[in-house]
Amino acid sequence: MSTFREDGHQLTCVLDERLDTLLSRSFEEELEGKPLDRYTDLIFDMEKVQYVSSSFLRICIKTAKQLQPGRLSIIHVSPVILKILNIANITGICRVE
Amino acid sequence: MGVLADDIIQQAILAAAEFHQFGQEATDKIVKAVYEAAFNNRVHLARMAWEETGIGRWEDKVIKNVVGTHLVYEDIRNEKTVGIISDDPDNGLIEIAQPMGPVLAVIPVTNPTSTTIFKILICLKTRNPIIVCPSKKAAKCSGEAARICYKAALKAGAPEGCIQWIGSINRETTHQLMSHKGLALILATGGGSLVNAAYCSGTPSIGVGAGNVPVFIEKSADVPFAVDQILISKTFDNGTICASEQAVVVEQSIAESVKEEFLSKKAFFVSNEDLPGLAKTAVFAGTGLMSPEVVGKSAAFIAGLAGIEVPEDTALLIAPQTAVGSAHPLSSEILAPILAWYEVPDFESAIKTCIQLNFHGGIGHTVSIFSNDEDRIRYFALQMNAGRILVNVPSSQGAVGGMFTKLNTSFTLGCGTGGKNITTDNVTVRHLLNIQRVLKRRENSQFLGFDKAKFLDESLTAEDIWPMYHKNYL
Repeated sequence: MSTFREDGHQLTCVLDERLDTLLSRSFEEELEGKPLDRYTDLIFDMEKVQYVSSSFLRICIKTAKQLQPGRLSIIHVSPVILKILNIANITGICRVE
Repeated sequence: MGVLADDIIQQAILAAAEFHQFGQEATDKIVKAVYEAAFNNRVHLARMAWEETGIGRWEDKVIKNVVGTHLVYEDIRNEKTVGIISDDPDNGLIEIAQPMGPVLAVIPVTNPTSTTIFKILICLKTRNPIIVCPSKKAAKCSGEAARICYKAALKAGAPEGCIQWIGSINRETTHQLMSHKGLALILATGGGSLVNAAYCSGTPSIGVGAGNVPVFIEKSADVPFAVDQILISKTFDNGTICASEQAVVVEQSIAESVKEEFLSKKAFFVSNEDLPGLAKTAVFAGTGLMSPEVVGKSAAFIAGLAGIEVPEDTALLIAPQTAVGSAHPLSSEILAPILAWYEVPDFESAIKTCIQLNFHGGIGHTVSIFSNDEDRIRYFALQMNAGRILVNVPSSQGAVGGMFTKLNTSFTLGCGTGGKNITTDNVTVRHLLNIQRVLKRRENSQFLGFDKAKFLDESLTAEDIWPMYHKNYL
């Protein structure tokens, strides 16, 4: 399961190792339940993530479009995931490190 | 850029990103599942294609679906298409297969389900998402083939959006898709205008060319065998395969026996007075293109359209011709059971007639010969401009591979630069991969050890340098 950590105006989502279609959907539901407009920064922490489905990539794009530019960050990505985010053109719409 | 095109490509890009993480085993599992699902629906899809298009024979479309599933799967299943595909320590070379990205697959009306399945299998095997763009006249059956494949692929763990298909699409959206910057490749199998549109789009494209296949029955041929094989090929699905024979060329010395053999097998020789009517029915006078009215129709039906009386069970209409070119419409490609007939005095005249036919709209595609004389076969082959030169086989089945030849099984037959294509190959998985090469240091000691000052000396010519360079390396 993904976990959420609030720190003032910052919401960090610590994501699971394998973000397949099913897990991505449940993460999306949880994320939709959060009042995103209350946070200035939203962070997807990918330290443990080894696999991402197209559903998760879709969530990244949707969320980046919902928020103001620069408010979504995807952090601690592995080289493999960095390449995937590049293929999906996600590195161009949010901060990735 | 249109919203529909953007959405389709976006889905495909995300599928490509997910697919990138799949290993060989996971990829092969998907390909096997899709092959099985498509194979198990071969009859349903064939009937649907026949009912929707009215082209060909449903029983033959079943065989086409078997070729597009069973034979294609056999051909590709053991191919390495993921990660490191070769490692050559002697030459310090490692090859890595990378997917290309979203592929737009243009599907022809003549083979709407078999080509759809074939392209889906080769795209999935190479981890490329595919967007199936069917002919308007076969959108339902191509879409159904894609739907069946997609359902099986998802069940086997494939990424969402790895197969998409377009029900009804206008020309503008097709062009938007073709030129979309997110599209990696167009696999264009279809008419000339669509293939040209693909080439003009700026996206890398693998297209096909038109065929106009001559078959030469050389005098050393086994005549009954040759005629039998030509009939198997030319009547298959009422002649809708672009590699089917279009004209038979025979030397006068054996013409009578070839004619008798054709007649004994229910071929009908059209009389001189009926030839203009047949030509008018089968080919548009202005453009010289075949009429859709006759494509994939039976010989008796076409004869009826042309006002020619033939027995109901006529297998093939044979149209005697004296020359090749636009003034002789029946010397052009017609995807129907109509075969032009050329009787020529000798071997050299036969070769010349085949060259004329080959260059009359069929450059780079396929030619065929029946002969038992190796020297003549080789001479014939050297004079032709064709990606496939078939010897003693039915050309429709021989050219697609897997049944009568060792060619890769394919429904996309490259025609080389003569046909405005990049390859003469039968297109398969290797054409859908970006191959990365890892190159380790392997010194060329002959070059590195040579005195470079010699290259700077303008007075030294190639003739002077050559022996110096090769000294002690002979």
